[in-house]
This record gives sequence, C-alpha cells and structure tokens, in this order.
Amino acid sequence: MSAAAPELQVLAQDSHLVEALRAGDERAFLGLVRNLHAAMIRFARGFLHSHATAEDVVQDTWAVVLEDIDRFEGRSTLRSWIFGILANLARTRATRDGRAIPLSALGPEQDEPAVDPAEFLSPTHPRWAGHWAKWPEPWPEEQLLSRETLAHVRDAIDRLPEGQRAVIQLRDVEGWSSQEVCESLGLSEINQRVLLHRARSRVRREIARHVERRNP
Amino acid sequence: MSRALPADLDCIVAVEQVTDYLEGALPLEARTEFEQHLVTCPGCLIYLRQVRAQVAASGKLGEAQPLAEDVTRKLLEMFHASRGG
Amino acid sequence: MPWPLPSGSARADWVEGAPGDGKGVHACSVEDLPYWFDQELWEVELGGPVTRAGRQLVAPRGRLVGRIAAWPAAQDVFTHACIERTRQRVLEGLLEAGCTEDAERLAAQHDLDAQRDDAFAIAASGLAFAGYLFDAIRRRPYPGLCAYIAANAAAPRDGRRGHDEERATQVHWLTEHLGLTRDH
Repeated sequence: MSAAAPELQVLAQDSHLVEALRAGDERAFLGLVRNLHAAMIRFARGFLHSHATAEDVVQDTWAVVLEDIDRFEGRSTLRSWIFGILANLARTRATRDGRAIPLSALGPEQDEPAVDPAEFLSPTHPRWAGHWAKWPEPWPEEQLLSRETLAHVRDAIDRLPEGQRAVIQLRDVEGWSSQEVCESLGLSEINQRVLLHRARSRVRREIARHVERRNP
Repeated sequence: MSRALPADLDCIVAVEQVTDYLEGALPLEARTEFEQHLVTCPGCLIYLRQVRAQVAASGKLGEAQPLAEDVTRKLLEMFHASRGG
Repeated sequence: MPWPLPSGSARADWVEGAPGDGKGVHACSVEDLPYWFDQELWEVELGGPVTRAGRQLVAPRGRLVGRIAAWPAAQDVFTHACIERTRQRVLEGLLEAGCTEDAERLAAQHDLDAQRDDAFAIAASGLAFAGYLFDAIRRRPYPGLCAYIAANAAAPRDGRRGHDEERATQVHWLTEHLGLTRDH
C-alpha cells in the first residue's frame, strides 16, 4: 500500500461531505462538527489559554467555514483547511487581546539539543566520546499511561512555544499526517519536522523527570 | 586513541535523528547507519522506544468530547442561516 | 511488522517491500551478521534482484526460511569468545607498554568480574585501551555491543586492519557454531 492511498481516501470522503454541506445537509454538518469541535478547542487553546475565548474563536471559525465552503477547492483536506482558518483567527485574536506573537512563531528557534549534553560522555573520553554516560531507563507502560503522567504530558505540551505546540498537537495528539499539518499551518516538511523534533524532545524531558522522580 | 576507524555514529548525533527516522525521512545510507547504531547501543534503543511510547501516550489526549447542547444549537442556527434556509 | 512464519514443510508467504529506490526488504549477508544480530536470528530467502547497500542487502521481496535455533543459546559463548580475544589484545598491549606486572596479574585472573575490575583500574591509571576489556565484560549481555567493542579494541594497535580481522573472526565463529552457509 503506497503512502498516498490514505490521503486519497480522505480526500474522496471529503468531497462527498463538501457536497452535502453545500446542499444544506444538516446531519453532514453535525457529523463534521462532532468530529472536529473538541480538537479545534484543544488547538485554539494553544494560542489563547482561555476556554471561553477558544470557544469564541472556534465558533467564528465555523462561521467562516460556512461562508467560504462554496469556494473550497479540495486541494487540501477539509479539516486541514478548517484548522488553517482556525489558526489564523486564533492568532489574530491573541494579538488583539494583547498577547504579542512574533511573526517567527512558527519558524525554528535557535538550536536546542534534544537531550542535555551532560548526559553524554565528553569529547575527551578515550573510548566512548559522545555516547550515553548512563543509558536511559525504560519507562513502565502502566506508569506512562496513568492519569497522572498523562496530565504531565498535557502540561508539557501546553508549555511549549507556540509553533512547537501547534505541530505536536496536530501530529501526536490528534494523529494527523505530516502532509496535512504542513498544509494547515503553511509549513515546509523540513520546518514541520524540526518543530516536531524539538517539541517531542521537550515533552520527553518532562516525562523522564516525572517518571524518574517516581522511580529513583 | 587510534583514529584509524571511520567515525561511527555516536549517541549525541543519533538522538537528533530519531524524529527523522520515525518519519521515514532518513536517506537509505543514514538510516542504515542509524539502525546499525541501535544494534550496538541498547541506550539509544531504549530512547527510541521512549519516544514511540510518548507519541502513543500523547494520542490518548486526543479523545472526542461530547458537544454541549447550546453549542450544537448555535451552530445549527448558523448553518441554516448560511444555507439560506 | 511481523513476518509470516513457515509452517511444517510449507514455505512462508513472501513479504513485499515498498517500491522505490533503496526501499524494499532489508536483510544482511553472513559477512555482515555481527553488525546486525539481535535476540532472534532467521534465515531469509530474497526474491528478485538483490543489491548491496553498504552493510545491507536490499531486495523487492523476501520470505522467512527458518529460525536459527542455536543462536539464543550461543550468544553467551559468542560474547565470551569476544571477551577472551579482547583480553588477549589488552595483555599484548600491556606487555608492549612494559607493564608486565599489570599483564601478569590480569592474565592470572579467571573470574570475569575480577578481570573487569582489574581492567578498569589499569585504564584509570592511564592505559586507556585496557578499558575495552572492562567494557566488553560489562556489556556481555548484549552480543551486538560486545562484538562492536571487541572490534574497536583491535584498532588502537592494529588500526583498520585489526578491526576488520576481528570482525572476520566473529563471522567465522558464527558460521562455524551456527552452521551457517555463505549466501548463494
């Protein structure tokens, strides 16, 4: 099975849905809303940090979607189009509300290593420069999936810089493909990967700290 | 120490490649080197498994939530208004 | 992705690799085995044109022929052999460096943990290459890593040639002890 097949499937389903929406099919619209609304709120929270404001912006997004649905060309998936609208509205609202968002928010920040360099042997080690000083410990699965740890994961994601958060939210939490995320957020593949890499690294560090504290 | 051997991939570099590896974005040669490193480095293998486990755990945060009734109502009104009916 | 198993006398199903340059089924030839082995070892038949890509073989399809039953049990013996060769190299290095006392003490040790501790102490005193013996013993639960250490341990004295010779010795050992044949 080629990598393109799932994308084509989604696009095909999308075109039925878009037709139904244009035709005024209420059930189709409700289905779409039920599918996406919670994820949209979660995503908007990354820019806005207040549930009420996020709800507002998501409502506004649906309004725009309905206004512009006749012009949707189907070059991207429906949901990536919707989330693209949402991201723009959320950022605009955040600026209006006084939260400065630098234009480079979605671009790579300066170099940050995935792991603290102190965890590796120094370049002067005679045999194993650059190797782990001490191997990481496997995380026990029940612990990783516990409510407490998941809350830490949620928290770690919430505290990421905006660009990293947007990518990890859509990729790892919502399970989107990299193509959809790039389309939605207007990122190149490489850009998206760098943000994903940094986001995952930061979140990993938080998980490791939490899990290690429990198992000294 | 002798520098007669070509430099192998070390762990500091390998951890920076994990995302590319999981994305399938490493070219064949780099991917081979990375996988070979895993054979000789249980530490990095554990690290890779941690990242995979973390991604799986993150997915648990993306649960569907039921829609509040007033939200549903408002959106339906919006829908019918936009469709002119 | 789990590979279909052969059952009884029936061959296993073919697994198709993804199309495209460098994609496909990856396997390794006997010569490269020490670079790749893990807990399980399986013999694979490759179908279609087989190309070599560095230390791997790539083919459009492959199927499992059978498991090398002797491997899991043989790991300990394999790593012990790597450790022994590493110890010999360290001893030779110590003698060449004029550290006869250290060499004699190390040669007299039979207990692995004691050898390991001795090697650590010798390395700490400034003869860093002795540390490879410490590493090899310490990492003996991991055959891939142990083999890698043994190969690296040959390099300080004999450079690339020593490294390759150690790897060749490892391949020879595996071929003999696991009854492997060279690929056809």
